[in-house]
Amino acid sequence: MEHPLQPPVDYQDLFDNAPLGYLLLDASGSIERINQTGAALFAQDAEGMTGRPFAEWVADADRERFDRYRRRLRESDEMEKLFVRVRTRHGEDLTVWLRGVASGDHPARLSLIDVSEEHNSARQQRYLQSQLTHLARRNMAGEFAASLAHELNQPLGTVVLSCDAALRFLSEGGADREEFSGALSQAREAALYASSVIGQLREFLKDGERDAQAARRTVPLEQVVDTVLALIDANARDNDVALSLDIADTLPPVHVNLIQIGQVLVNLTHNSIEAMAGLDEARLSIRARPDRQGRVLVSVEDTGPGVSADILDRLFNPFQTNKAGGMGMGLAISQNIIEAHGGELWAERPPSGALFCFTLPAAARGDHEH
Amino acid sequence: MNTEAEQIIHVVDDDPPFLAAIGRALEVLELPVRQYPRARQCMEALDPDQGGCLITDLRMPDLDGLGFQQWLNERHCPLPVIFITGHGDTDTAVKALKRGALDFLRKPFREEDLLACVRKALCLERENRQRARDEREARRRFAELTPREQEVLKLVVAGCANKVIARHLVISPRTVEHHRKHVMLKMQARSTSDLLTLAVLCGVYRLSLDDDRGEYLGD
Repeated sequence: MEHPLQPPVDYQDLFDNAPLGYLLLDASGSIERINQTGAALFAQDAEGMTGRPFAEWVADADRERFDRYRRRLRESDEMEKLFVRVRTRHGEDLTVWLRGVASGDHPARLSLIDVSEEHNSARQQRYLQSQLTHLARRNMAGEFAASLAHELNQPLGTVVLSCDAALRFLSEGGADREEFSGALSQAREAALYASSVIGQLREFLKDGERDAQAARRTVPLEQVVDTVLALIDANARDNDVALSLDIADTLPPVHVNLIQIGQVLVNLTHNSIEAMAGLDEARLSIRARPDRQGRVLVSVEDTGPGVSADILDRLFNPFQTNKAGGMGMGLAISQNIIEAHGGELWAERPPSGALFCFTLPAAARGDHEH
Repeated sequence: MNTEAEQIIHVVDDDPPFLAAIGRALEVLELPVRQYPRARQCMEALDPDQGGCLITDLRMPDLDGLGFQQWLNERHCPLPVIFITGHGDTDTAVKALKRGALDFLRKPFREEDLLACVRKALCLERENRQRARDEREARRRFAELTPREQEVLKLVVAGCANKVIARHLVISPRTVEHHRKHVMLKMQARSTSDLLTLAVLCGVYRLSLDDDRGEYLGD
């Protein structure tokens, strides 16, 4: 068999025009080399990007995550992956998927894929999901309120009509005692019935609270945060909010219902993120540290417009809302949950932004047995 | 039963204490009140020729208020309907009013509000029934006129003088005069304006401020 003479492989061309973006990062995070496919993602050519820190193209909100990623790259021998938002020369925002390895003193080798489209559809889906959940919750609350209204208006209707009749009997003076007392005792019966409806509602809510208490566990605070971190992180990233998390190592464990405290965290962060919509500088930080009494103090702080002094007093009242379409129940429910756990929830007015804090008592020895 | 003279108030609500309370309030009107815990029972008992009004809860176990209203509309039942509800369901209220409900009371309501509402309904119903009876009577009298007399009546109420009518029908003014007397007698009209009212009631003359007012409606 005759072998045709093969031309030598042009590795430079293979590198530059590979279907994937390739990138070499030195220890300081500067681009040592980038192929043309990679540079084209940023609407630049490879020469223009070489020697500059890759972080220049990373979206502000993702800088911190990117720095952590570079640390991970250096410290591990595994393939490290990161979804990160970048900005092209034309100001277009993309989400790229980085996969990289670094070994020894060699520059880190990374591949670069544009996943903006997939990312956007995932974001869209998450948004719809959260809207649905919100709607379902509001609907449930609305239906509950409507049926409660009916249950109460029914006997109240009888009370008002019976009292009016009794008053009429009095002013006419012609009615006999029996008619008069008949109307009054009917009003009384109906009022008692209305009060029993409220009693039943109380029992119902108490049952719910008893179940919630039975589900409490003694856990480190990290675990509480972990249950909802993915949710909060996704919410922050979808809204271009930089999220930072700082949990002290020295915290005592807490005895809590994970879902309820998680709900409080989601609620507070959601309020912050919503309040910062459209702001250039949108940062959200969740901090946890022990307070002087040995309780766990969790704070949620944002760089939004903050809480104005005139609504500070009413902030935790039910049905108090500034949001279009809001029920005004979020903070009221959150405060209830924290107080049921033996803690406190309050708002502070820092020089800028909003600051919500809550405390949770350290788990007592007896709590472990539950 | 005396179907012409009196009005009956029908009340439907599935809550017995409320039914009793509303019954006590309605005593003021000194009219018979019939109470039903279910819509179906009320449907069976309703006499279409009987005057009065109907008060019904919008939500009931066997049939909702809108369904009840539709049933009444299908039977051309002229009873005015007042809805009551313990819910804040404005949508249903709007729907009910659009389909001809007279009014809407939200529980809890005061006796005077109920009475004002019912008085209005009864007054409206009485007027409607009176008008329907007048129309029936006017049509009956008109039907007893000869075709020629009917023509003369239409021309008289259109404002034509006897001479004009005579020319139009190609008869003598004296014959017109003769027909006219019969028309007045048979229609039991004391004056031309009486005759006009009767013509409007039996639908052969239309009252209007438009340019074509007084238009002769033909046959």
